[in-house]
Amino acid sequence: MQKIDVHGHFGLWNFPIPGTNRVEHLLALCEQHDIRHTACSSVLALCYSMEEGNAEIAAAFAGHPQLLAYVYVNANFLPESVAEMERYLSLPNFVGVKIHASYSGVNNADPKMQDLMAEIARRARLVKIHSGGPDVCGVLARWAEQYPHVNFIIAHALGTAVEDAARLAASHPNLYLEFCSSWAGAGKIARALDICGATQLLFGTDMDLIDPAFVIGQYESAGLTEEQKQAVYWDNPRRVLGLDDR
Amino acid sequence: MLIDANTCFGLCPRGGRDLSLATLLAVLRRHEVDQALAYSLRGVEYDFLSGNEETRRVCQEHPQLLPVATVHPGRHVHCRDEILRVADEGFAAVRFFPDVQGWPIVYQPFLDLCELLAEVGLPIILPAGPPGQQTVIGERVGPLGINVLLIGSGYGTNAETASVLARWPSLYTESHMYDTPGTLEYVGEVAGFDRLVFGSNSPDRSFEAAYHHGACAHFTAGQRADFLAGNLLRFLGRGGD
Repeated sequence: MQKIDVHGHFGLWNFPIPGTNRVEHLLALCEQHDIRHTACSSVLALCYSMEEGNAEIAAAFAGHPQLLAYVYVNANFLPESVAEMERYLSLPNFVGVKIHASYSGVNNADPKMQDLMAEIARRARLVKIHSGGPDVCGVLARWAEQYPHVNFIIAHALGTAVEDAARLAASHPNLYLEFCSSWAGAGKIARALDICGATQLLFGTDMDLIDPAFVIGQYESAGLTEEQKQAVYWDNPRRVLGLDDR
Repeated sequence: MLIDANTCFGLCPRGGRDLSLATLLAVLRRHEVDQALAYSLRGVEYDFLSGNEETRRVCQEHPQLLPVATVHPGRHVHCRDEILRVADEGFAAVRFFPDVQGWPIVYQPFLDLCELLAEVGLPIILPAGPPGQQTVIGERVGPLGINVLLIGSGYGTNAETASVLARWPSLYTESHMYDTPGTLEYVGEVAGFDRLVFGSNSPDRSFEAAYHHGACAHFTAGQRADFLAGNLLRFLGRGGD
């Protein structure tokens, strides 16, 4: 079944991953696993330089409509983050914003992150969050309520706290879950499905850090009906990434 | 043929997970797993003597399960006798849990048991652990020449796995935490495709994640067959060349 991936990366990983840091590697993984689009953030932006990373991914993905991008923003650099959003969000490949609590060292509850989220909400309709810090669920719920026009993708479905994430998504229609993780806890997607239903679930891979095959195995064994697979693999990501409007 | 090198059954005292024997058997049946190495969590979490007894009984009742004994070196008492006993009773291997039980690899009670295991010819299963641990296992256990299967190497430790396996020919690597694209194949190229062993860590982890990742790996047919069964049989001294 064709798929749209809401969680990818472009850049260098310091692990033994032959071929990483090349557009062709992402495209080959997409081809192997019938992934029609993957929405990626820059590893260089996450790990080191926001500006260099966003520029690199914009240049690399230009002319590859299959490859979509999140502009990465960093709460430590608010004016610069605003400038990055202004620079990239209108470009054809860009679909939203990515923030990462641990790479930036700014957790969800930090006042700097509240300021950043306010700026994001003025400019974007989609933000993917790798959460961290105290009261993650409380902060995500407040953001979802405060910014109802923004869709939030909860990266990794909060890892081992997947049931907390699912309860959040069940009560906030603009919160969505994707499940890529090295922690392949048995039954985690099925438990989330029971709690929040397929409408809140998205397909995410973490490629090319994680092999889509590893994640697809978990989605395929989650007990999804064909209709639910169509929603999770295609319809929901297409809607949340705004591809219907393009 | 499909053999899973990494399964368990029992209870998790920290809750939240169904690790029952019934669930394990259902997973193995659903995926048509021919055989699986299995150990009792009772032996890990509480008492290796009664845990091994449970493993022995369960594996007799379910012959597709190959018994793996556990021993806690920190207890010292009964460790050597138990190793001699499980060797005599046909256990497939002895697995250690320094991560769960809180002892280091450089720990003389453990190293003494490794020497005994080398004498009796029972393979050892150990966690790959954090960065550096596989290196220490290679240095301390590799020279004994006994087969060692390293469980749970992931992307943060795969480079170390490749180097350690390349240096120590009696070490193998289990796959359930391999999740990066091309890394299984890369480690195979560096250290030998005969050192890659399929494992799922069922029923705690998703069988399908590990299996589908292996199924999609760019192996030859022979490499795939070895990965799914042949290499483990060779590790156990029960087949292969």
